[in-house]
Amino acid sequence: MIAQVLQRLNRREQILAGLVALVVFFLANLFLWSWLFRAIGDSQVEVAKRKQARNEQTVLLRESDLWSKREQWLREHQPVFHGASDASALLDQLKQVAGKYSVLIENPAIGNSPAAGAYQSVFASIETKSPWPPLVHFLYDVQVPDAFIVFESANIAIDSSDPTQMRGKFKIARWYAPASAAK
Amino acid sequence: MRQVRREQWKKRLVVAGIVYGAIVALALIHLGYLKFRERQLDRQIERDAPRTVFVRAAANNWKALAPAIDPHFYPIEILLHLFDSLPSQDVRITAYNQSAREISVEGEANKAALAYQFADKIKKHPDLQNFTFDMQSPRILPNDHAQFRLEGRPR
Repeated sequence: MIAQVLQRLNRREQILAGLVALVVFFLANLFLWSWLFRAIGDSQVEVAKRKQARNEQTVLLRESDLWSKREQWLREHQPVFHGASDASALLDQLKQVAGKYSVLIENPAIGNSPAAGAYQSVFASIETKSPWPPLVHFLYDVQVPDAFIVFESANIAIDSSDPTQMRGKFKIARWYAPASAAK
Repeated sequence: MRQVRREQWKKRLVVAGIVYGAIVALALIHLGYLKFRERQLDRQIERDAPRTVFVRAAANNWKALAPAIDPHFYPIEILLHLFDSLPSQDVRITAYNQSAREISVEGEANKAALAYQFADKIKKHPDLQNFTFDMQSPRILPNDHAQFRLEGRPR
Protein backbone atom coordinates (compact mmCIF):
# COMPACT_ATOMS: atom_id res chain seq x y z
CA MET A 1 0.00 0.00 0.00
CA ILE A 2 2.71 2.46 1.09
CA ALA A 3 5.01 1.17 -1.65
CA GLN A 4 2.32 1.80 -4.27
CA VAL A 5 1.76 5.33 -3.03
CA LEU A 6 5.53 5.98 -3.04
CA GLN A 7 5.88 4.68 -6.61
CA ARG A 8 3.27 7.16 -7.79
CA LEU A 9 5.34 10.05 -6.39
CA ASN A 10 8.12 11.66 -8.38
CA ARG A 11 11.72 11.84 -7.09
CA ARG A 12 11.38 15.21 -5.35
CA GLU A 13 8.11 14.20 -3.71
CA GLN A 14 9.72 10.98 -2.51
CA ILE A 15 12.59 12.94 -0.90
CA LEU A 16 10.13 15.32 0.73
CA ALA A 17 7.97 12.44 2.03
CA GLY A 18 11.14 10.82 3.41
CA LEU A 19 12.10 14.03 5.20
CA VAL A 20 8.61 14.38 6.68
CA ALA A 21 8.70 10.75 7.81
CA LEU A 22 12.13 11.33 9.42
CA VAL A 23 10.91 14.42 11.31
CA VAL A 24 7.78 12.58 12.51
CA PHE A 25 9.92 9.60 13.57
CA PHE A 26 12.35 11.92 15.38
CA LEU A 27 9.55 13.75 17.22
CA ALA A 28 7.79 10.51 18.16
CA ASN A 29 11.10 9.19 19.54
CA LEU A 30 11.74 12.36 21.44
CA PHE A 31 8.33 12.06 23.10
CA LEU A 32 8.59 8.30 23.70
CA TRP A 33 12.12 8.29 25.17
CA SER A 34 11.68 11.39 27.29
CA TRP A 35 8.54 9.81 28.77
CA LEU A 36 10.29 6.45 29.25
CA PHE A 37 13.41 7.93 30.88
CA ARG A 38 11.32 10.13 33.16
CA ALA A 39 9.05 7.23 34.16
CA ILE A 40 12.03 4.90 34.78
CA GLY A 41 13.89 7.60 36.75
CA ASP A 42 10.84 8.36 38.93
CA SER A 43 10.21 4.66 39.55
CA GLN A 44 13.83 4.07 40.49
CA VAL A 45 13.62 6.89 43.06
CA GLU A 46 10.35 5.48 44.45
CA VAL A 47 11.77 1.95 44.67
CA ALA A 48 14.90 3.26 46.43
CA LYS A 49 12.72 5.13 48.97
CA ARG A 50 10.62 2.05 49.65
CA LYS A 51 13.71 -0.16 49.93
CA GLN A 52 15.12 2.19 52.56
CA ALA A 53 11.81 2.20 54.45
CA ARG A 54 11.69 -1.58 54.21
CA ASN A 55 15.27 -1.91 55.51
CA GLU A 56 14.42 0.31 58.50
CA GLN A 57 11.34 -1.81 59.07
CA THR A 58 13.43 -5.00 58.93
CA VAL A 59 15.81 -3.66 61.59
CA LEU A 60 12.86 -2.73 63.83
CA LEU A 61 11.16 -6.08 63.27
CA ARG A 62 14.36 -7.91 64.16
CA GLU A 63 14.18 -6.18 67.57
CA SER A 64 10.44 -6.69 68.05
CA ASP A 65 10.92 -9.55 70.55
CA LEU A 66 13.14 -7.36 72.70
CA TRP A 67 10.63 -4.50 72.64
CA SER A 68 7.72 -6.85 73.38
CA LYS A 69 9.58 -8.14 76.43
CA ARG A 70 10.42 -4.61 77.57
CA GLU A 71 6.79 -3.51 77.10
CA GLN A 72 5.63 -6.51 79.10
CA TRP A 73 8.20 -5.78 81.82
CA LEU A 74 6.90 -2.21 82.04
CA ARG A 75 3.29 -3.43 82.28
CA GLU A 76 4.24 -5.82 85.08
CA HIS A 77 6.55 -3.56 87.06
CA GLN A 78 5.57 0.08 86.59
CA PRO A 79 3.59 0.95 89.74
CA VAL A 80 -0.06 1.96 89.51
CA PHE A 81 -0.97 5.45 90.66
CA HIS A 82 -3.37 5.49 93.61
CA GLY A 83 -3.63 9.19 94.29
CA ALA A 84 -2.00 12.05 96.14
CA SER A 85 -1.26 9.77 99.09
CA ASP A 86 1.49 8.15 97.01
CA ALA A 87 3.61 11.29 97.54
CA SER A 88 3.52 10.86 101.29
CA ALA A 89 4.35 7.14 100.90
CA LEU A 90 7.36 8.13 98.80
CA LEU A 91 8.55 10.56 101.48
CA ASP A 92 8.12 7.88 104.15
CA GLN A 93 10.21 5.50 102.07
CA LEU A 94 12.96 8.13 101.68
CA LYS A 95 12.92 8.85 105.42
CA GLN A 96 13.22 5.14 106.14
CA VAL A 97 16.28 4.74 103.86
CA ALA A 98 17.85 7.94 105.23
CA GLY A 99 17.29 6.73 108.79
CA LYS A 100 19.02 3.44 107.99
CA TYR A 101 22.24 5.32 107.12
CA SER A 102 21.86 8.24 109.56
CA VAL A 103 21.35 10.76 106.79
CA LEU A 104 19.65 13.86 108.22
CA ILE A 105 16.61 15.01 106.23
CA GLU A 106 15.59 18.67 106.32
CA ASN A 107 12.78 20.71 104.73
CA PRO A 108 10.77 17.83 103.28
CA ALA A 109 7.96 18.69 100.86
CA ILE A 110 5.67 16.61 98.67
CA GLY A 111 3.57 17.22 95.58
CA ASN A 112 2.13 15.92 92.32
CA SER A 113 3.78 16.57 89.00
CA PRO A 114 1.77 17.17 85.83
CA ALA A 115 1.23 13.91 83.94
CA ALA A 116 3.52 13.18 80.99
CA GLY A 117 2.78 10.77 78.13
CA ALA A 118 4.67 7.80 79.54
CA TYR A 119 3.94 8.29 83.23
CA GLN A 120 2.17 10.24 85.98
CA SER A 121 4.24 11.16 88.98
CA VAL A 122 4.48 12.39 92.53
CA PHE A 123 7.57 13.90 94.07
CA ALA A 124 9.24 14.55 97.38
CA SER A 125 11.77 17.36 97.84
CA ILE A 126 14.31 16.94 100.58
CA GLU A 127 17.56 18.44 101.77
CA THR A 128 20.11 16.16 103.37
CA LYS A 129 23.15 16.56 105.56
CA SER A 130 25.54 13.70 106.12
CA PRO A 131 29.11 12.56 105.55
CA TRP A 132 29.88 11.27 102.05
CA PRO A 133 29.73 7.44 102.62
CA PRO A 134 26.18 7.39 104.10
CA LEU A 135 24.99 9.66 101.29
CA VAL A 136 26.37 7.18 98.75
CA HIS A 137 24.51 4.33 100.47
CA PHE A 138 21.35 6.44 100.53
CA LEU A 139 21.57 7.18 96.80
CA TYR A 140 22.32 3.53 96.05
CA ASP A 141 19.36 2.18 98.02
CA VAL A 142 16.79 4.70 96.84
CA GLN A 143 17.06 4.08 93.12
CA VAL A 144 16.63 0.65 91.54
CA PRO A 145 15.05 -0.01 88.12
CA ASP A 146 11.80 -1.58 89.30
CA ALA A 147 11.17 1.18 91.87
CA PHE A 148 10.63 3.73 89.06
CA ILE A 149 12.22 6.42 91.20
CA VAL A 150 13.86 9.35 89.45
CA PHE A 151 16.09 12.10 90.75
CA GLU A 152 14.41 14.92 88.83
CA SER A 153 17.07 17.14 90.35
CA ALA A 154 20.05 16.41 92.56
CA ASN A 155 22.46 18.99 93.93
CA ILE A 156 25.31 17.74 96.06
CA ALA A 157 28.01 19.96 97.49
CA ILE A 158 30.50 20.04 100.32
CA ASP A 159 29.04 21.84 103.34
CA SER A 160 30.76 25.24 103.47
CA SER A 161 30.59 25.34 107.30
CA ASP A 162 31.83 21.76 107.80
CA PRO A 163 33.93 20.19 105.02
CA THR A 164 33.41 16.68 106.47
CA GLN A 165 29.69 16.94 105.68
CA MET A 166 27.87 16.88 102.36
CA ARG A 167 24.78 18.94 101.66
CA GLY A 168 22.25 17.45 99.29
CA LYS A 169 19.14 18.96 97.77
CA PHE A 170 16.97 16.48 95.91
CA LYS A 171 13.68 16.39 94.07
CA ILE A 172 12.85 12.72 93.93
CA ALA A 173 9.87 11.47 91.96
CA ARG A 174 8.19 8.15 91.39
CA TRP A 175 6.92 7.62 87.86
CA TYR A 176 3.68 5.65 87.83
CA ALA A 177 1.99 3.97 84.86
CA PRO A 178 0.06 6.48 82.75
CA ALA A 179 -3.69 6.68 83.33
CA SER A 180 -4.33 5.11 79.90
CA ALA A 181 -2.31 2.00 80.85
CA ALA A 182 -4.05 1.58 84.19
CA LYS A 183 -7.52 1.25 82.56
CA MET B 1 20.87 -3.72 -9.95
CA ARG B 2 18.79 -0.88 -8.53
CA GLN B 3 16.06 -3.37 -7.49
CA VAL B 4 18.68 -5.47 -5.63
CA ARG B 5 19.98 -2.43 -3.73
CA ARG B 6 16.43 -1.46 -2.84
CA GLU B 7 15.79 -4.98 -1.47
CA GLN B 8 19.01 -4.77 0.57
CA TRP B 9 17.95 -1.43 2.07
CA LYS B 10 14.51 -2.87 2.89
CA LYS B 11 16.16 -5.77 4.75
CA ARG B 12 18.42 -3.35 6.64
CA LEU B 13 15.41 -1.22 7.59
CA VAL B 14 13.50 -4.26 8.84
CA VAL B 15 16.50 -5.37 10.97
CA ALA B 16 16.89 -1.82 12.35
CA GLY B 17 13.14 -1.77 13.11
CA ILE B 18 13.36 -5.07 14.97
CA VAL B 19 16.39 -3.89 17.01
CA TYR B 20 14.67 -0.60 17.77
CA GLY B 21 11.47 -2.40 18.80
CA ALA B 22 13.48 -4.73 21.06
CA ILE B 23 15.15 -1.76 22.79
CA VAL B 24 11.77 -0.09 23.36
CA ALA B 25 10.35 -3.40 24.63
CA LEU B 26 13.29 -3.84 27.04
CA ALA B 27 12.82 -0.32 28.39
CA LEU B 28 9.08 -0.99 28.88
CA ILE B 29 9.82 -4.32 30.60
CA HIS B 30 12.28 -2.55 32.92
CA LEU B 31 9.65 0.07 33.73
CA GLY B 32 7.08 -2.65 34.35
CA TYR B 33 9.49 -4.46 36.69
CA LEU B 34 10.11 -1.25 38.64
CA LYS B 35 6.35 -0.66 39.03
CA PHE B 36 5.90 -4.28 40.14
CA ARG B 37 8.75 -3.95 42.69
CA GLU B 38 7.24 -0.68 43.98
CA ARG B 39 3.87 -2.39 44.59
CA GLN B 40 5.55 -5.45 46.12
CA LEU B 41 7.49 -3.28 48.61
CA ASP B 42 4.33 -1.28 49.37
CA ARG B 43 2.51 -4.49 50.26
CA GLN B 44 5.38 -5.69 52.49
CA ILE B 45 5.61 -2.31 54.25
CA GLU B 46 1.84 -2.18 54.75
CA ARG B 47 1.75 -5.76 56.06
CA ASP B 48 4.38 -5.11 58.75
CA ALA B 49 3.35 -1.53 59.60
CA PRO B 50 1.39 -2.37 62.79
CA ARG B 51 4.36 -4.27 64.28
CA THR B 52 6.73 -1.44 63.33
CA VAL B 53 4.44 1.14 64.92
CA PHE B 54 4.39 -0.95 68.09
CA VAL B 55 8.20 -1.21 68.18
CA ARG B 56 8.61 2.53 67.63
CA ALA B 57 6.08 3.35 70.36
CA ALA B 58 7.71 0.89 72.78
CA ALA B 59 11.17 2.34 72.06
CA ASN B 60 9.93 5.92 72.60
CA ASN B 61 8.22 4.90 75.83
CA TRP B 62 11.38 3.17 77.05
CA LYS B 63 13.45 6.23 76.18
CA ALA B 64 11.04 8.52 78.04
CA LEU B 65 11.29 6.31 81.13
CA ALA B 66 15.10 5.94 80.88
CA PRO B 67 15.87 8.19 83.90
CA ALA B 68 13.82 5.76 86.03
CA ILE B 69 14.85 2.41 84.58
CA ASP B 70 18.28 2.87 83.01
CA PRO B 71 21.02 2.95 85.65
CA HIS B 72 23.21 4.95 83.26
CA PHE B 73 21.13 7.97 84.28
CA TYR B 74 21.23 7.31 88.05
CA PRO B 75 23.24 9.87 90.08
CA ILE B 76 25.01 7.11 92.00
CA GLU B 77 26.20 5.46 88.75
CA ILE B 78 27.29 8.75 87.23
CA LEU B 79 29.11 9.76 90.42
CA LEU B 80 30.88 6.39 90.47
CA HIS B 81 32.10 6.89 86.90
CA LEU B 82 33.12 10.48 87.64
CA PHE B 83 35.21 9.36 90.61
CA ASP B 84 36.68 6.55 88.47
CA SER B 85 37.83 9.22 86.05
CA LEU B 86 39.70 11.38 88.57
CA PRO B 87 43.29 11.36 87.30
CA SER B 88 44.79 11.83 90.77
CA GLN B 89 44.03 12.97 94.31
CA ASP B 90 44.95 16.47 93.20
CA VAL B 91 41.57 16.76 91.48
CA ARG B 92 38.52 17.12 93.69
CA ILE B 93 34.82 17.30 92.87
CA THR B 94 33.20 20.03 94.96
CA ALA B 95 29.66 20.11 93.62
CA TYR B 96 27.43 17.91 91.51
CA ASN B 97 24.11 18.93 89.94
CA GLN B 98 21.76 16.73 87.97
CA SER B 99 18.35 17.21 86.47
CA ALA B 100 16.42 14.33 84.91
CA ARG B 101 18.85 14.24 81.99
CA GLU B 102 21.50 16.94 82.40
CA ILE B 103 24.44 17.04 84.73
CA SER B 104 27.08 19.52 85.80
CA VAL B 105 30.18 18.90 87.84
CA GLU B 106 32.23 21.55 89.61
CA GLY B 107 35.65 20.91 91.03
CA GLU B 108 39.12 22.07 91.76
CA ALA B 109 42.47 20.76 90.54
CA ASN B 110 45.98 21.63 91.66
CA LYS B 111 46.88 22.37 88.03
CA ALA B 112 44.77 23.33 85.01
CA ALA B 113 46.30 20.41 83.07
CA LEU B 114 44.78 17.99 85.55
CA ALA B 115 41.35 19.51 84.99
CA TYR B 116 41.71 18.96 81.24
CA GLN B 117 42.93 15.42 81.89
CA PHE B 118 39.84 14.77 84.02
CA ALA B 119 37.55 16.15 81.29
CA ASP B 120 39.24 13.93 78.68
CA LYS B 121 38.83 10.82 80.80
CA ILE B 122 35.15 11.59 81.35
CA LYS B 123 34.56 12.12 77.65
CA LYS B 124 36.15 8.75 76.89
CA HIS B 125 34.54 6.81 79.74
CA PRO B 126 32.48 3.99 78.16
CA ASP B 127 29.69 4.23 80.74
CA LEU B 128 29.24 7.98 80.28
CA GLN B 129 28.69 7.83 76.55
CA ASN B 130 24.99 8.73 77.01
CA PHE B 131 26.20 12.29 77.60
CA THR B 132 28.33 14.76 75.72
CA PHE B 133 30.53 16.72 78.10
CA ASP B 134 31.85 20.23 77.66
CA MET B 135 34.25 22.10 79.88
CA GLN B 136 34.79 25.83 79.77
CA SER B 137 38.31 27.10 80.41
CA PRO B 138 39.16 26.55 84.08
CA ARG B 139 39.41 29.62 86.33
CA ILE B 140 42.85 30.02 87.85
CA LEU B 141 42.68 30.82 91.57
CA PRO B 142 45.23 32.97 93.49
CA ASN B 143 46.87 29.77 94.83
CA ASP B 144 47.36 28.56 91.21
CA HIS B 145 44.66 25.91 91.57
CA ALA B 146 42.19 25.58 88.72
CA GLN B 147 38.47 25.73 89.31
CA PHE B 148 36.51 23.93 86.60
CA ARG B 149 32.95 23.21 85.58
CA LEU B 150 31.87 20.36 83.30
CA GLU B 151 28.45 20.14 81.72
CA GLY B 152 26.95 16.96 80.35
CA ARG B 153 23.96 16.78 78.07
CA PRO B 154 22.29 13.65 76.76
CA ARG B 155 23.27 12.62 73.26
